[in-house]
Amino acid sequence: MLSNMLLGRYIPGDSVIHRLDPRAKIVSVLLMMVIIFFANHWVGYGLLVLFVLGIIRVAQINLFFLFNGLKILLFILIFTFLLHIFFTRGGTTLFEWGFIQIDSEGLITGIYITVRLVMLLVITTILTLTTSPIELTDAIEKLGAPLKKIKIPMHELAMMISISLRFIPTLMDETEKIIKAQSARGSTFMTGRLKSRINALIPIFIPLFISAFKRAEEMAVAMEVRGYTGEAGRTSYRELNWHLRDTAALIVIIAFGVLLFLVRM
Amino acid sequence: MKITVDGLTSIYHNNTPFEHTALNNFTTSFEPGKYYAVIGRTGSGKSTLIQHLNGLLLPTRGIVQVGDLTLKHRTKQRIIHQVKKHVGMVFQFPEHQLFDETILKDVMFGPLNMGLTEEEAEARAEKYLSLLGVPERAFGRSPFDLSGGQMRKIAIAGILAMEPEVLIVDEPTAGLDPKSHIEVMDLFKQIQEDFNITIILVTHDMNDVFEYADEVKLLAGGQLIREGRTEDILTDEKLLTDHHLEIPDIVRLVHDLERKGVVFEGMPRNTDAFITSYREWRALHAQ
Ligand SMILES: Nc1ncnc2c1ncn2[C@@H]1O[C@H](COP(=O)(O)OP(=O)(O)OP(=O)(O)O)[C@@H](O)[C@H]1O
Ligand SMILES: [Mg+2]
Repeated sequence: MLSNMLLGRYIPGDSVIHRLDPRAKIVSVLLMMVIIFFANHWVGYGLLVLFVLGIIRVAQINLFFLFNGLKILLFILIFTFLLHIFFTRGGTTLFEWGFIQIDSEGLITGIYITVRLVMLLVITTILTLTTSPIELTDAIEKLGAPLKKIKIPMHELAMMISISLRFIPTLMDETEKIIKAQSARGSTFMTGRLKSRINALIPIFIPLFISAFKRAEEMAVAMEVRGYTGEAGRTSYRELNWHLRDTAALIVIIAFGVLLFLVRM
Repeated sequence: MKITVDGLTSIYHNNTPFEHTALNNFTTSFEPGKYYAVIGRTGSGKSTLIQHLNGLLLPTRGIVQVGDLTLKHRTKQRIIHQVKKHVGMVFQFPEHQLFDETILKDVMFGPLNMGLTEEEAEARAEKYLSLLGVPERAFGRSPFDLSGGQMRKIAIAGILAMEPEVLIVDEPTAGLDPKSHIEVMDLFKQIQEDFNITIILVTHDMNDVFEYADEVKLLAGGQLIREGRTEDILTDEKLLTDHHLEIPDIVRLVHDLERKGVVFEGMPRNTDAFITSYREWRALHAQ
């Protein structure tokens, strides 16, 4: 159920993509987010899909597995697709029935926008699939360093992100345990009428909140007794190292961006 | 209520890179009214096995037969709900499942879900809270004001109040003080004898297994390695050491004594029985 959800999950591995500096990966993803919008007709979109498939290949991620994990988001995709099909006008009219009218332009835009969305999702999923949460937050802190000048507490922000990320699996496990314990007591939040389903959530949420607050408190105490006082005087245990391959990765992305720009019509 | 497990294979996250076979072609059965212990080193599949016995997990392959109800890969929720009426489960740290305003209401939660009326559920709750030694004046208090050990008793009462015919307990004494430990273990034994229900205990404490269980199932790597009477399996020092399990203190003591020439008739199962055996031996052998 929850376990199929891929977005935000990390799978350890040993591909080139896994070994890239997390800063390079974040910057690449940001670049890709812009580049995706360069594509404006089928050649561009074709190249884009091929390029992303290539990255998936290099990252050694199972394609079937990747799309299976994104299935949860299918609803949003179908919704956008339909929205464009029905409301974008232009080109020849392909289909007309009552007040429903589908134009060729609408169909094409629908497909293009959906491809864009899927590529955005895939790209960000590749980032989290191949980068451990710790690396991600280190990179966010480093990349955000200039913002400290304008008094944005980047260290604290990064710490908050890393603690939250760290606790997502714990909370998921905890939720699963509590659901099991309550359903062993005959609680039926998976079946029955809406009202009884909502009522059945109370025995799950209350224990969950109680344990989450307990954990937060214990964590705060544990950090304090170990002398955590925020950023002042802290050194890093893990150093991020920028290699040639990281520069190369950025160059590849930029080159692709230029290519996509050139084939624009 | 007899439980039969036939060719059960259980795979977590089937068809993903996280795929993990926790049980492999597992076949065994649990007779009514007996006290079973499921043992094995950590990760051997004990918790996975017992979650199949009340439908919390469904088989990837194979079947689990609970009385005349069958649990298979795609069994309907309605059947699973039926199974839960018959098979109760106390999880590790059961106090984490408490949620209601008062102790009494929390214990009534299970019986109400089983379709009992308010009055019936309340009567049940009162009965089992009293059985666990919770005084009546405490019924209206919040379960969250109690100590860990007391909370655990309330949580156990919550399962007992459903009056299952099979009671599964997964490491019920983890984190308890020695006195509560004995109380909880004695309680399970007592309800097994008084109400003639099946107990299936998962534990790492071989002393408990040796003292309380009639039958033992030894798991390793998701497979059943041995099953049989407790006195046969827990006295096999080699078997236990091979599977990274402790040897019960009494077994060790008796074996040490044998090497010194003190040989008892049978194997005593608890401290009292040990003392009796020793007295008998002295009466016969000491001049
Ligand atoms: N929710 C889960 N998802 C994936 N794998 C799991 C899950 N639960 C258990 N496993 C795996 O299945 C195997 C058996 O786990 P199980 O919890 O049944 O062991 P156990 O014998 O109860 O161990 P312990 O004595 O530590 O409680 C382990 O290798 C474990 O890593
Ligand atoms: Mg376990």
